Amino acid sequence: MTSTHFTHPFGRTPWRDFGRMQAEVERLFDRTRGRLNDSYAPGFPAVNLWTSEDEVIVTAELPGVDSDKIDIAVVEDTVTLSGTRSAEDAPEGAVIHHRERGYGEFSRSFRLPFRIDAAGVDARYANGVLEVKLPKSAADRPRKVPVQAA
Amino acid sequence: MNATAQEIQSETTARAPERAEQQTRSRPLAAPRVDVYETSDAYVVTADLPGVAESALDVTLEKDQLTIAGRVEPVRRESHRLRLAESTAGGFVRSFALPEGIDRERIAATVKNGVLRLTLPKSAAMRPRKIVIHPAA
Repeated sequence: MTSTHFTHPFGRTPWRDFGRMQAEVERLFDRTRGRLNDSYAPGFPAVNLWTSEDEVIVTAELPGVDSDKIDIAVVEDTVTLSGTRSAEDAPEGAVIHHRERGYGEFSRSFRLPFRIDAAGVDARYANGVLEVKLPKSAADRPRKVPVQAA
Repeated sequence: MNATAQEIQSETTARAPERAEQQTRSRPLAAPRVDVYETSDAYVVTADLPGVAESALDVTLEKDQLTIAGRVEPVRRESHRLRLAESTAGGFVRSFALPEGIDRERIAATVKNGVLRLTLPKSAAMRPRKIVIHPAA
């Protein structure tokens, strides 16, 4: 098993103090690295994360992973990207000179500062990069309350 | 065969191709991760290049040096703030010293799902040949 789980990397103050949180995440990986495939960089896949008022966009570098081998799971305010990257199948009798590209199972979870509208999630995969748009659920959007004249 | 095998050891050279150098300026160049294996008829190189469009990728062969170079364009979003950036945007380069006996005219490159696959066929003279042993008459 080469997957790593961390559930609440952002703690209770989403987005604030990001550098410190990221350091904590790195430590988590360090602690579990012994169980990981060595050729995997800690935190595979590498992820970029953007935010706006109404959504979060996550992009993940998943070169050589078939899009049907990628699993995106949304539960309330947490999104989990997981799947399997298959090994390059060298034909029998081939001599391996370099093996730097990692393979195996991967899993990363991110807790967002809002609950996700699961039905509105949009995911695309192109050039080995997965892009997932995670809209804020209606329940967590600010609502304007009209003041009735008495 | 063993000597040629060792020669394909990769080296991330300091000297980037001209184009990559111009584009990246002072940014450090990343080296993509690669797998290399050898069969009886070819060497196969696969490189992880997520987010690299075919048009932003250069594969060049100069003397016996094969170079993979290019650029990942950083994604900009006007209405969003970037909160976490682990991806490798910018220039990348990786060079290999080719072993002898490659059929240069038949080198093939394909890109699929962000993975470059190079097939370097061995020339006929380098392929192992089975010697048929005839029974003595």
